[in-house]
Amino acid sequence: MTENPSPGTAFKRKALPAYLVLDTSGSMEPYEALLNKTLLSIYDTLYVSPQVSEFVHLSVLSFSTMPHLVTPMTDIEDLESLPSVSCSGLTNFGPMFDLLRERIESDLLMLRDAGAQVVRPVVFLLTDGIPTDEPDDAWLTDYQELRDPSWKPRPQFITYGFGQASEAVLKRISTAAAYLAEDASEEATAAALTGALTSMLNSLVASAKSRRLEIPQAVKGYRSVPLDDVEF
Amino acid sequence: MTTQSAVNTWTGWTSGTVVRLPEVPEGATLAEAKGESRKVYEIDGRPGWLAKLYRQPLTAPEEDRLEALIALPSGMPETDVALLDRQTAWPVARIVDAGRTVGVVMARAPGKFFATIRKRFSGDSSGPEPLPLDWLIATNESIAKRGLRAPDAATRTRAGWELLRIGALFERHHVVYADWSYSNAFWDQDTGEVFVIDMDTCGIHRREWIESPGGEDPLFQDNSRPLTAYSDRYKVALLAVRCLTGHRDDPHAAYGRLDPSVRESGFGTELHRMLTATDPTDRPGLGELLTAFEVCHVPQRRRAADGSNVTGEVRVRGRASRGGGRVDEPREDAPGVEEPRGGERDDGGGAASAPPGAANVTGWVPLRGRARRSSGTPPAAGARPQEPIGDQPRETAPPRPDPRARPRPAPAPPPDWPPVSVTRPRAPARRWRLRRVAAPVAAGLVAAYLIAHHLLGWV
Repeated sequence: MTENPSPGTAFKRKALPAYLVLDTSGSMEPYEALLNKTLLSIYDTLYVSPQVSEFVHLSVLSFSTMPHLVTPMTDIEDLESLPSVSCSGLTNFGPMFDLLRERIESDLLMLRDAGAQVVRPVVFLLTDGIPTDEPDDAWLTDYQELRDPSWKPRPQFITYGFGQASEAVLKRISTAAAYLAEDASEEATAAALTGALTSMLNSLVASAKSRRLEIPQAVKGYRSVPLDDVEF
Repeated sequence: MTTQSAVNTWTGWTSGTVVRLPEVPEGATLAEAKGESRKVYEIDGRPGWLAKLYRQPLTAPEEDRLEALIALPSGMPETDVALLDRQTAWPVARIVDAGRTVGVVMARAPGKFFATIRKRFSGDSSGPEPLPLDWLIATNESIAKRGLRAPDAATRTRAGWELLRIGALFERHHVVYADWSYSNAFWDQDTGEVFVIDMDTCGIHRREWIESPGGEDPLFQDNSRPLTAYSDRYKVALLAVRCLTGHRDDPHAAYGRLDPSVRESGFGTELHRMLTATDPTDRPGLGELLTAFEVCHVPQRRRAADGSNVTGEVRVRGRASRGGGRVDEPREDAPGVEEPRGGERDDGGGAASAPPGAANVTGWVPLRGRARRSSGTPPAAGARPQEPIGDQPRETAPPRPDPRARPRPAPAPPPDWPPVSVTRPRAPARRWRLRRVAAPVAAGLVAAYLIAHHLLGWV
């Protein structure tokens, strides 16, 4: 028989830190309006779904030449407005991984201080291109630091690639799932972008119900990239 | 998507308990690939009824369980069926295809359980959507921000009461729901009425363990153990206390936010017992908790439990039911009140408390070809259902909250006060009896005096 917590025992609510990382390099410029519209829709969904927003703690980051924190991991009740993103510059992955590690460290502390029982963070990465970091493999060092096995809060990665995204890069980054759009045309990319964000949202809603990360099984317009070393 | 006016969610289905897939043509889709269902859609041409198709055909034991669930209300007293008809999406028919059960028919929640929610960032509003308990178990400020009506104490009290009534009904009939989550029950923002969905997954006596986000049972953490009524007791009580307080985190913190008069009442005592029991069998039955809740929240019932007189009687749609039309008052002597046991309480109406086959079960529902599972006497074929002798199912109203929470003039007696046992006002009856006895006694004394004085000359 499990011992019942007595009144006053600290109650801990499970919390999933989730990061939506958007590629906002110059090549994403045609989809800027769509990106901002979809962001609104994601936050609206969280706003009207308390069961989701009490489990999923979302923060949005963008990256191009440099990474940016678009929305911090704030209680959705306290978010007064949403910034819009603009697209320009290169597709540097390395600084983005650095910022992610920094944010995860501070966000987890914040959630723990709030009494949450934090589960492993998840990153949903959307990109339409290949890394432009110099030298070519520099981003891998930052990625490996983020995924360092000795660092407990190392996040899971689910990636969505469209446009000119590289299957090899997605495969290298992803730990839970990777999806590559089947059609690289501009028209198809718009649909793929919406499809990726819808997939992310569905995954978060399902995760809130089961209180664990639910990985998307299939994404419309994408094919699943087989992963060699899936780590759960 | 359109909202639906109220239908009788079990007796309203008249197309048999087994239907073939082509007999439930697809209308508007409500959900796809959600939980254990592959699709949920409105049945074309059958407004108010939904078909839920499973991801996989049911196994034989699952099929038996669903069949038993569908038939279960046939053996229930009429008052219980009336409650199911109003407050639950009970499964009414299996959908079969190629000899396998591939889905189930259930009623759609009536329109009053739908609401439009204001979205903050886009400024849009949703279409009418089912209003889950999610949006009652929140702060009033947060609820109002979404464009919903912030619930007053009466609304919260009613929601808590209805959950307990439904939970007590399930317990009486050995139904284990287990999935008491914020999203599996809707509420009416005008009244606090509650509607429980996804009843097709219920077990009878037990059910396989399932995740209960936010409602984890500390005594059933081992997911290899099946869930039983003991777990449902905890989950229903937890949901009820959260509805009452709007507090969704720590169960003990939610309990602590109850009005002190409620905490100190018999209901508070039973609730505390429920939340702190270290052995599931120490958890009070939901019938007991419901009775304590009603005693706590209904002044007349409380007085009856205290042994004091009632103060009035109102007629409810032609039936006697007590209730002075007053809102609740704080209870001071709750710990001393002896609460009736769950199966012995007199619900008086909407919540029939007696188990099937009990002495006060006198009404039956039309069978509509369903298998009767109780041993009661069925009506003759084609006969109208007997009128029960006791109180009838009725449009229900909640116990009223502590008037101190929101001062208001004494309202007229509500037409549908919660069920309480009917007791004649005792003080007027005693006076009447005294008058009847005193008159002949006085006349006798006068006659004796006259005889003694005039005939015998004693005085």
